[in-house]
Amino acid sequence: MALSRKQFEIACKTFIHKCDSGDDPLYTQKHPAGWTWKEHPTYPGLGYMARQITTTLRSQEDNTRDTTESDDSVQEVEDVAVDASRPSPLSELINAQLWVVYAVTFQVPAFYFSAHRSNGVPLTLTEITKLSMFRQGTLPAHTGSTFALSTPDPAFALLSQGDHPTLGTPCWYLHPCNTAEVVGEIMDAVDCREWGEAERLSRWLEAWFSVVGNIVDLPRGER
Amino acid sequence: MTIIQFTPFSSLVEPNFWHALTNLKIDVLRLSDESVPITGYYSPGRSIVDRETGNEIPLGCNINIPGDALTNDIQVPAHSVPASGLFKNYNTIEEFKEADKTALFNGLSQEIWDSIAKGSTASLNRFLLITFADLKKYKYFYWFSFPAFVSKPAWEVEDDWKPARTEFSDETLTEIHKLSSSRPSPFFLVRAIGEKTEIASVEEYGSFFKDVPLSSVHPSATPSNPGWPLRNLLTYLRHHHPSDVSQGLRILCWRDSEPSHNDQWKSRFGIAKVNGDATKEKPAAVGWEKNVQGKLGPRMADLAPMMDPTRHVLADQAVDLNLKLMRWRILPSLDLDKIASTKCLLLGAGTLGCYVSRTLMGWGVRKITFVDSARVSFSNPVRQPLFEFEDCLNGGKPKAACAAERLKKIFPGVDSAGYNLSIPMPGHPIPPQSVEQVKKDVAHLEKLFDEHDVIFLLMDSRESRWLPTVLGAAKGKIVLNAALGFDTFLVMRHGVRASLSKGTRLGCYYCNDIVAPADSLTDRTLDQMCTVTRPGLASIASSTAVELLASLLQHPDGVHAPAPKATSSKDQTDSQDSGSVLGLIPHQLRGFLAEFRNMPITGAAYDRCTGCSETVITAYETQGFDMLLKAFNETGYLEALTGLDKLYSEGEAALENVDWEIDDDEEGEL
Repeated sequence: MALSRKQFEIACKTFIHKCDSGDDPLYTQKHPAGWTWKEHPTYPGLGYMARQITTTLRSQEDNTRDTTESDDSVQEVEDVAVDASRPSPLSELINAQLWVVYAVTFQVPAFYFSAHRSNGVPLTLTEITKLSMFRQGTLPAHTGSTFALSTPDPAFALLSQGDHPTLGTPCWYLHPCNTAEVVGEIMDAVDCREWGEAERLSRWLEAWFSVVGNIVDLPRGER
Repeated sequence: MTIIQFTPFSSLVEPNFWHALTNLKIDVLRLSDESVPITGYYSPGRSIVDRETGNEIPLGCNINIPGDALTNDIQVPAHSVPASGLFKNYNTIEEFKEADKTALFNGLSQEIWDSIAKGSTASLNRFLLITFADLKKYKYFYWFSFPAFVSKPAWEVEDDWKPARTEFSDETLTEIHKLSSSRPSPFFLVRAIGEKTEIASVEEYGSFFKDVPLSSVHPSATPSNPGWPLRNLLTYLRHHHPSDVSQGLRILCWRDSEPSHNDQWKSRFGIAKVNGDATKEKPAAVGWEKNVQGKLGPRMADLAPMMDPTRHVLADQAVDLNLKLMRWRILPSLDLDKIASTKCLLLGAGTLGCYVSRTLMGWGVRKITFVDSARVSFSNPVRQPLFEFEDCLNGGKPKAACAAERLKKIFPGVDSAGYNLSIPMPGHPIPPQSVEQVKKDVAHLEKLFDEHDVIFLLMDSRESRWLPTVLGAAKGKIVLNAALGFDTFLVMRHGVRASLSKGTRLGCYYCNDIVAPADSLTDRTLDQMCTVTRPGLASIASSTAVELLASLLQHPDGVHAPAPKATSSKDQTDSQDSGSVLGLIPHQLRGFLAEFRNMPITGAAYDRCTGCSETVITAYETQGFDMLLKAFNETGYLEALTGLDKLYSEGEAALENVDWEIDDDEEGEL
C-alpha cells in the first residue's frame, strides 16, 4: 500500500498531534516523538517532518582535522565556578538532523538525515556507520564506496546520499524501495475497520516508524 | 554547602552556517569587518543513554548556530529559546589572530552589565563570535565567547541539587511544562500556591513574589551542574535583590521539554546562596570557549572536502551514481574503478576527440588529455560539441586547451589538460630550421605516452597516425583508432608488438598496407576525407571506440584480449564467452551508415608492417629521433626498412589481394 502526498501530510500531522496532545500519556513512550511539520518556504505541498537529535560516535578517533593552536593573548581570571570536567572523549557528540519526507517515486515516507560535528563538518560515510543512532549490526560494513552502503543482496543500496527533496541540501537516506510492502504487511494484520481516515494513516506512519526503528534507534519519551 | 559549578556553553555550528557565512562574505560584507547581529538558540539540557554501556551521557550545555543565524528571522525549534550576539568576520588570518579580543570581550560584558543595571534580563545571554573564513581553502577559523560574571565569593548550593519532584508536585511540574512551552523564555519565575501554578518574567520579581520567593531557570546539563545562563541571571538577582540572595534563592533548573511520565522529571532544584555584599562595579567576566585541545584558542572547521568544487565530493558521487547503479542492477561484477582510473590521451580534439572525451567522462574517466595543433574555426562548433561560436573569434582558441577547459566546466572534478602540439608525419619532410622544435615536440609526445594508459588516435589524416602507432606499440599502450569516411567508419584496437604478444597477434592501422604512409593529398582514401562525413557518424564512431575500450578493460588479459572467433553470419557469437562482462571485444569494427550495419573484422598483424613490426619498433628504440627524422624526411625509408619495397616489386598483383576494404561479402575475417 502506498500513500499519496496528501495522505502523507495527514498521517504526519495526525501523528504529531498524537505526540503533542498528551491525550494518550503513553503514546510518546511507544512512538518516537519530537517531530515538527515544516513546509517549503515558497511552494505549498512539499511539507515534511523534521527533528534534531544529538547522538554519539562509536569511535575514539579524532577526525576533526582541527589543529588550531591556543591564543596566549586571551587570559581569563581564575574561576572556581566553572565545571571544568571535559566531556567523555569516548563518545563525541554529533548533531543529527532527521527528516521524514515524502518519496515521490515510491509513494511512501522516506527517512533522510544529515549528521555533523560540533564545528559543522559533516561526517563521512565511515563515520556514519559508527553513529550510535543506528542499531549495531544493522548497517553492513563499509565497502569502500564514499556515498552508499549496500546489503549483500546488491539489488539496492541500503543507505545512499542524495539531495533533500524539499530543502535541496545534501543528505543521507535509507532507501524506501521495500517500504510499501513491509508496512502493508503490518497493516494487513490489524483491524482498521473502526478507524477514520486520519487515524488509519497515522497508524500507517506508526507502523512505518517501527520498520525504520529496526535500523534507526529513534529516542522516544525523551530522556 | 557546595560551590556551584556551571557547565559552560559549547557551540554547535550547523554546516549551513558556514555556507551562509560564505555567501554573506562574498555578497554582502565583502571587505567589511563590521559587527553584525547573530542569533543562536539553546534548549533544555538533555542526556542520552549510550546503548553500549547503558551510561547516561549529559549533552553539555549546547548553543546551536543554525544556517539562518545571520538572518533577522531565525526559526527556533520547539522548546528552544533564542540567544543573540555579535558576529565579526576578519579579512585575513593575521587580523583574526591579532584582533584585540580582550577589548571585544570587555565591550560585550559591559553591554550585559549595563543591561543588568537597567533591570533587564534581555542581554544576559549575549555572546560573541569572531571568524576568519578562508574561502579559497574552505577553512573556517572561529571563536565563541559567552561572557559570564564571576561572583566573589562563589555561589553555593544548600545540600546539593535535588530532583525537582522533591520540591514540586507532579501536577505543578506538568503545569509548568504547559505554561513554559506556550511562552518559551530563557528565564521565568514560578509561583505555586495551592493548586494554582503561574509563571512570570524575571523582571516582575518584586510584585510576583509577595509571599513565596522562588525563581526558576530554563537550561542546563549535568545533574549537579546548572547551565551557563544561570550565572548572569544570579548576577542580576544579586544586583537587584541582595537581601533575598543572602537568604537563599530557590532555583528550578528546568530540563523537561517533554511532559514526564511515571514521575521521571529531569528538572533539578536547589537553593543558591552567596555571602557578602555585591559589588556595584562590573565584576570580572569569563567565557571564551576552549578549543578541541581544551585550551583557550580558536577552533577550525575544514569543509574543503565538501565545498571545493574541484574536490566536490557530491559532484564526484553524483557523476559516478549512474555507473554504480548499472553495477547494482545489471552487471554486479563490472569493475568501474578499472575504467575510471584509466588515463586517456586523445590525439586530436576535433569531432572525434570531443565525442570520445564526453563518452569517457560518462564512464567516470577522470584523466583526459588532448593533443591538437589547430585552433577552433568557424566550421567547428556545430559538429564539435565542446566548442562555442565565441571560441572561433580572434583567430580561434587553441583546440586542445579549449576542449580541456570545457570538460572542467562540465565536471570540475575531471583532470583534463590540452597541449598545442603538432605530430610530425612521414611524407611531410621537416625543414632543417624546424628540426629542433620537432625534436622537442616528439619528446613531449613520448612523455605524454608514458603518462597515460590508453592512446586514442583521432586525427584527420592517415599519416599523422604513424608516429603514435609506433610509440604506442613500443610502449605497450592500449591504442584505439577511429577514422571516418563519408558514411563509413573504422574503429579498431591495435595489437601488441610481436615481442610481447601471446597467441595470435592482432594488426595495427598499417598492417594491411603494402605502402608506407605518405603525403595523403595525392593518395587519398575514403577514411582520410574525414571532414566530409555524415554528421551523426562521428558520435557513432567515437562511442564505439570508447565502448570497445570499456569492454577491453573488463577483460582479464586487457590489451592482450583475443578477438572473437570467426563465425558464419548466421550464428550469433555468444557474447558471454568473450571473457569480458561487457561482451565481445572485436579487433576492428567497420560501420556502414548507408546500411545501418556494423561489421566486426579481425585482421592479423603483418610482420613487414611499417607501423608495428619489430623491425620498425627496434629501429625506433635503438636510434630514437634520428630514425623518426628519416621516416619523416626520406621517401621510401620505411619501405626499405621493412622490406615492403621488395615485396612491392615482386608483383603488383599482391596489392589486389591484400585490399582490406572488403565490400559486401560477409566474410568476418581477413
